Amino acid sequence: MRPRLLHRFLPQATCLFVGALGLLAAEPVVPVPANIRPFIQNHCVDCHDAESARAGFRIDLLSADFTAGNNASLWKEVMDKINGGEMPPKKKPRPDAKEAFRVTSWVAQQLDETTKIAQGAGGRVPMRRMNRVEYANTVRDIFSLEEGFARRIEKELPADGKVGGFDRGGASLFMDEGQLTQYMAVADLVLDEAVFIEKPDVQKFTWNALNEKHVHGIGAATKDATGKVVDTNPPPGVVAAFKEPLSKIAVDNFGQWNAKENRYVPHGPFYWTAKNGGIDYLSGGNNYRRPGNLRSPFYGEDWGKKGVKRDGWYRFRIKAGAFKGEGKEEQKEVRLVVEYGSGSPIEVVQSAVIDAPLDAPKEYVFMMYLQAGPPGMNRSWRMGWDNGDKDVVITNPLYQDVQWKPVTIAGEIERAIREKKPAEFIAELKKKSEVALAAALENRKTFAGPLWVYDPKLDIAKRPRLWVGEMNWEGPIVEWPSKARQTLFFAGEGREDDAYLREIFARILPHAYRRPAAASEVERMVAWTLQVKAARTLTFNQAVREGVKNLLCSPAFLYLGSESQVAAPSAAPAAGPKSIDDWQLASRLSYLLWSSAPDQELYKLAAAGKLRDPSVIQAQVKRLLADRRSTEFVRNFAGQWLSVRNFDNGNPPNRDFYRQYDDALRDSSKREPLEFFQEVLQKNLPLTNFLDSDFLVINERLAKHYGIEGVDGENFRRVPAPADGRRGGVLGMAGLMTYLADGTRTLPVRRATWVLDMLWNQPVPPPPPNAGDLPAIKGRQQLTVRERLDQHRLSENCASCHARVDAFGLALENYDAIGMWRDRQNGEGMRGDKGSPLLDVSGQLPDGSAFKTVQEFKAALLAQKKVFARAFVEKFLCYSLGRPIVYGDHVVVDQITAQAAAHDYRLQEVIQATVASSFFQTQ
Amino acid sequence: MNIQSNSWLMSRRTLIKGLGATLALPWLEAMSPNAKKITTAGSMADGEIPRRSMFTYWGLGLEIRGFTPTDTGKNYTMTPSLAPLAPFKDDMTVLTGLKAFSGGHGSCSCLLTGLNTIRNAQTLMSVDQQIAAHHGSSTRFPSLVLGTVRETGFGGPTPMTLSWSRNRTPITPENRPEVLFEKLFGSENNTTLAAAKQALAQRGSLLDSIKEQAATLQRNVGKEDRARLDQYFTSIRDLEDRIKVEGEWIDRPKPKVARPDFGSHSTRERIANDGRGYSEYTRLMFDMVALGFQTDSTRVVTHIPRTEGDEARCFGYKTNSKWDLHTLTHHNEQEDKLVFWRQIDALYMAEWAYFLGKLKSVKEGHGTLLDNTMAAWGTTNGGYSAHDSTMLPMILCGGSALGLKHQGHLVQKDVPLANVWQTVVSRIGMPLPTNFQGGVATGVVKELI
Repeated sequence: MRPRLLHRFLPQATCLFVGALGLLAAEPVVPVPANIRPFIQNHCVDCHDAESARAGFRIDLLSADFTAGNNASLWKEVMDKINGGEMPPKKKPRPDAKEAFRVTSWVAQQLDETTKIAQGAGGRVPMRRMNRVEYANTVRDIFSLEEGFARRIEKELPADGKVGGFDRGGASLFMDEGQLTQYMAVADLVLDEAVFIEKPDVQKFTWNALNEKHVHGIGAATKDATGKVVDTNPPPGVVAAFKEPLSKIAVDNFGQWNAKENRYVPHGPFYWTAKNGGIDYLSGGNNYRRPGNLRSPFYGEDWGKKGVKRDGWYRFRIKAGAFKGEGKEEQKEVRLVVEYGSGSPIEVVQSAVIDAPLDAPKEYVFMMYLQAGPPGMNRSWRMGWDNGDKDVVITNPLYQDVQWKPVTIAGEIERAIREKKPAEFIAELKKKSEVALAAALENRKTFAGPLWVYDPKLDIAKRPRLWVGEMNWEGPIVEWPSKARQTLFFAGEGREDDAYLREIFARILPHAYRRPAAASEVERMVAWTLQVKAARTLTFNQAVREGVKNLLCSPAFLYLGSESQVAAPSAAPAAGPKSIDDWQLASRLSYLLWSSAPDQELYKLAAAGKLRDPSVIQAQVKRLLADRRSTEFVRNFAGQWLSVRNFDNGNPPNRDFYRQYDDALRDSSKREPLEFFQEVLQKNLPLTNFLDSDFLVINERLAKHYGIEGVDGENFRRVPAPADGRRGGVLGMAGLMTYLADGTRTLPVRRATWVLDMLWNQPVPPPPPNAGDLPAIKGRQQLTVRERLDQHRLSENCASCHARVDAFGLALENYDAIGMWRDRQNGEGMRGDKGSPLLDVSGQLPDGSAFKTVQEFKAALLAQKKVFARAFVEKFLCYSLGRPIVYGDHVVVDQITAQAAAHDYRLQEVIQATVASSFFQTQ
Repeated sequence: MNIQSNSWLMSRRTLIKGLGATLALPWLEAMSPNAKKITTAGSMADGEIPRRSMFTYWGLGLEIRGFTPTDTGKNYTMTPSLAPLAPFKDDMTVLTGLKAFSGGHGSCSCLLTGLNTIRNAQTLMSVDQQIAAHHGSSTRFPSLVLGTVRETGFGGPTPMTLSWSRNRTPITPENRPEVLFEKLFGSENNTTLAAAKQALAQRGSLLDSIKEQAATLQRNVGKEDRARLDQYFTSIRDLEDRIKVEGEWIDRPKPKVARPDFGSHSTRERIANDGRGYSEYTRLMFDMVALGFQTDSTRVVTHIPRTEGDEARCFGYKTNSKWDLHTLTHHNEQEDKLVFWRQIDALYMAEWAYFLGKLKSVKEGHGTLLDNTMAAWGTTNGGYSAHDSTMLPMILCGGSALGLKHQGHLVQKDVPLANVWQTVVSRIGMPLPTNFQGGVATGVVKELI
C-alpha cells in the first residue's frame, strides 16, 4: 500500500510544517466556510490540533486564504489525502461520502479561483506583450512580408504560455532576458532576410529527360556503322533514334555485372517513347518503388540543393499531357506531384492534375514557397506521378523462365535437405538442377531476343500515359527592393539628409506604435539614430535599419494596450473603469479578429474619434470578419478552444491495428474543426451547431472515413449531415476523438473531461495521485472499456466525482480510437466483429436527463443550450480580454449571454456583444 | 577558478577535436596557469577545476520495482534497468524512496524548486539558477537550460522547463543542438574584435533607448500595467548585466571546436513515432552539454531528455510493445506491460550511460570530467504506476573529486528529494540560499559527503 505520507515524514515533517506554519503564525487565520467546518471538526481536529499535531500538521492553523503563503499547497495535500481515502486513517470512523466530496470540491474550486485571481489583472484587460502569432502577423502587415515568411518567424519564437487555455493571457506572456533577446534576434531576421535583403541571386535550371543519361535505368546499346556494338548508355533522345536498340546478356554467368563474355540481343519495347520533343511514359514503367511514396521515372534533381539558398517563392514549369487510360486500365486522374525537402520540417508538396491530352500538352506552373532551412537540412527535389504497381514491360518469359529454373530447383533442394527427404529424391533434384543449369547457359548463348516484352496480361493500348516535355525551374521570385524598403525610403534612396530621416520615422512610428506619434517621440528616435550612425560610421541605410530595429524592440510596439493616449491617472485611481481611447480600441479589435495590427480604415476611424460609436464599431466587426485576415481568428481561437493545436501531441494511432489511418486522414482531421468553425462564423449560425448540426464541412478523405458518398476532392465543402445523426457538431469529429484516445483504445474519462472543460467550462479537478488505471482484461474476457471503468463505482470517494463526469465520455463510445463509428467494442485485441461485446453508451447527466444513444446525448446537451452558451461566452471573453473569467465577472457574462439569446445564440452576436461590452471598451 | 585574474595564455588557434576525442587536450588543461606549455598541461591543481552540476528530468518515471536493486551498499546487484550504467557503478549512487512535493504530469516544475506545482501561485527560484548566480561571470554562460521542446508549458497540463529565474519567470529551454553549438562555439571568424565590440556597444545603446521609452510609457499607464512593465525593465537590466559579462569575455575567443555533422537527426521533429531518431537526437544534445562543460563555457546545465508528454518517442521500434510509454505506466499490474516498461527503461538508461561515458572520457586534473561534475538523473513522477510523488529514484553521478562519496544503492525512504540538492549545493561550496527549496529540504544526505 502506498505509505502514509505525513506519518512517515514524522521527524522531518515536523520541521517542514512547523517551518511553514512559522510563516503563517503571524497572519490571521481565515476560517473555513460554515458548511465545511463540521467535517474538519469531526474528522481532522482530533489528530491535527495544538495538542496532537500529528506529522506536524495543524489544521486549525491552516487558513482558508488560499492566496497566502503555502496554504494552497497544503490544502491540495488535504484534498488529495481525502480523495485517495488515506485521511481520515482507516481505523477511524469513515466520513459520509457526500460530505467528503463537498469538502474536496470546495478545495478544488478555491484552488481554481485562486489561480485565476493570481493570473487575472484585477478584473481589467492587462497590458501584455504580443504572443508569437501576433508578432509574426504584425511584422508581416507592417512590412508587406510573404505569408510563408511570417509563419517562419512565428516558429522562430518559442511557444507562449497559456491562461485559461489561450495564449493571450498577460499573466503567462512573460518578458524576461531570454524573450527580449529572442525579439532582438527576430528583428534582425526580419530586417536582414526580408526588408533589407540583398539582391537575390536567381537560379535557373532547364531540363528535358530526352537529354539526360541514366534516367530510366534500362539502357540500350546499338551497332555502329562497322557493326560493332556500342554500349554507352546514352540519353533517351539518342536511344530513340536507334534503328535497332540492343540489350546485353551475360553469357558466362547469370549476374550481368561481372560477366567476362557478353552478347547483345534485340531490346524489345520500351515503356517510354520519344515524341514531340519530350517523352511519352506508359504507366507501369521503371519505378523507384516505395510504398505510399512518389513513384517516378524521373530522377529527383538537385535543384533544391543548388537553387534554394534563401526562403522565397520558386517557380517550376513543366509541359505535360496525359491519358487517363480506358476500361479496366483507367485511373481516376493523372496527377503530377512535386516534393521539396521530403520528410524534413521544410517539406513542401504540391500536385496538379494533368488534364491536357497527350497530343495537346500545356504548361503547368507550380509556385511554391520554399524555405532554405538550417545547414544540412534535406533540400531534395523530387517529381513524378503514381504510375501504378505493375510493370508494363517485363523480361521475356522465353528467357526469364529458363534462367530462373536452376534457381527454383536450388531452392527445392535446400528445402528437401531441410525436410530431410530421402537421398534418392535429393539426387534426382540435383540431376534436374544440372540439366536446368546447362539449358540456361545454352539459352544465354542462343536466345535470339527480344529481351523485353510487354506484359501480355495488360492491355497496353488502354494503359494510362503521361507525356512530359521541357521543365524550367527558377527562383527566388521576389520583388526587389522589397516593398517594405520601397515604402520606408518613400522618396527613393538618393537623399541622406537629416530631414529625410525625420520624415522616414514620422511615417513609420505610427505604424509601429499603432497610434499617432508625438513630435518628441520622432525627435528622440532621430537623435538616437544619428548618434548610432556617427558612433559606428554607418551608411544612411544602415542607420535607418538600426532605427527600425529599435522600433521592433520598443515597449510601445511589443505591448498591446500601450496605445492609449489618455493622460496619466492620478495617484489615487478614480473609482470605476476608465474608458480607453480609440487607438487602443482599434488595436483590441484588430488583434481579436485578425491577430494583427489595425489597417488604414480602422486608423482613420480612430483618428476621427468615431470608433466608440456603437453602429460604427458594429460595422467594423462585420468588416473585419468578412476580411480574409479573419482566418487567423479561426486558426487561433478555434485552434485552441477545440484543441486542434494539440492534435499532433496526442498519441498517434497504432497503424498496424487501425489500417485505415493514414496521413491524409490525419491532415484532414486537423482542418475539419477549423473549417466547421469558419462556416458557423461566416454564416453567423447559432452556437448550438457546435453541439449538433445538420451539416458537416468535410472533404473526400473525411467523407470516406464517415461513410458518406458523393464527396470528391481535397477541398472542404459543406454537405448535409447523414440522417442517422451519427455525425454533426464537434463531438463526432475524427480529429478530436483521435486526440482523446491513446492510439489503441478510447479514453472516455478524458473525453468527458474535455467536454466538461471546453464546452461546459466546468473543469473537473484532477484525480488524486496514483489514481490507477483500468483493470486488466483477464484471460479471454471480452469486456468493454465501460465495464472496466465500473471500478470507479466501487470506491465511494472516486464514485462521487465520477458519477457526475463519466457519462459525458461514455456517450461517445461509438467513436473508436480513430473516430470511426462502431457498434461493438474494438481495440486491444477485439476486432469489433460479432465476437466483440456490444457497446452500451447510455447514461445520465447531472441534471437528471437520461439518454440511450449518442444522438439522445447530443439532444440532452442541446436542451441545456443556455449552459453551453454561457460557457462559450466565458471562453470567448477569456480569449478576448486576455485574462481568466472569474465569478466576479458574472454580470457582464450574463449580459452578453442574454444578448446572444435574443438572437438565437448566433456566433457573430456573441462577438458583437463582447466587443460592445464594458470589459472590452474600458481600461 | 577565476579566469578574469589570469592572463590569456594560449593563442587563438587552439583546436579541439570535440566529440568523442579522448586524445585532444581538454580546454581547461590548456588554459590552466600551471600549463606553461601544452606538453606540461595536466598539472592543473584540483582547486582550479570548476565544479559543474547537471540536472535532468525524465518524464513518466520508471518501473520502480524492476529498477530498484534488492540489496544496498556499494556491492549491490545491478538490475537490468540499471545494467547500461555498469561501467559507472563506482561513479554513482542510486537513491530510492525519495519524495518530492508533488507528482504526476504537472510536477516537473517542482524538481528543482521544491514547491512549484501548477496550482501553486507561488513560484520559487530553481536550484540551478541559484548555483549559476553563485558562479557568476566565471564562465561565458551562467547556465544552459535545455529540453526537447522550446516552450515553458506554462498554463498547460505539463510544464516543460525545470528552471525558474529569480524574477519568478519560467525559462524557455533550447532544443536545437545546432543553435546550441553556434551559441557556444559559433563563428566569430567573420568579425574582427573591433566589430564585435561595436556590436556589443550597439546592443547597449539599443537597451538604453528602449529603457528610456519604457520609462516614458510607464508614466502614462495605470498601476497594474506598471507592474507588467516591471518585467520589461527587469529584462533590460538582466540584458545589461549580460552585456557586461560579454564585455569581460569579448577579448577571449570562444573555444574552437570542429563543427560536427548534425546529419538529419538534429531536429526533434525528425524523431519518428516509433522512436527512430530519438537516440541520435538525444546524443547530439548530450554531446553539446559535454562540450560545454569541457570548454568551461558553462558550469550549470538543466535538461529534460524526456518530458511527461514525450510518450510516443519511446523506442517502439526496438521493442515489440504495442503500447506507448504512458499507457505502460498505467499497467494495472499486467505482466506484459510491466516487462515492456522495464525494457524501455533500460533503453533510455543507455542514453544516460552515453552521456556519462562522454564525461568520463575527458581527462581533467587527476581524474576525469565526470569526477568534477555532479550529474543527476531525476524524476518526480513515481510510485508503482507513475503518478505519485513518493518512491522516487535518483541517480547522482560523478562529482567524486568534489567530495561526493558514492554509496552504491542507498535507500532514502521518504527523504525529501530536495535534500539531494542541498547536498549538491554543499559540494559547490556556496552558502545555502535562504528559503531553500521552499523549506522542503531538511538537510544534506550525510552518507554522500
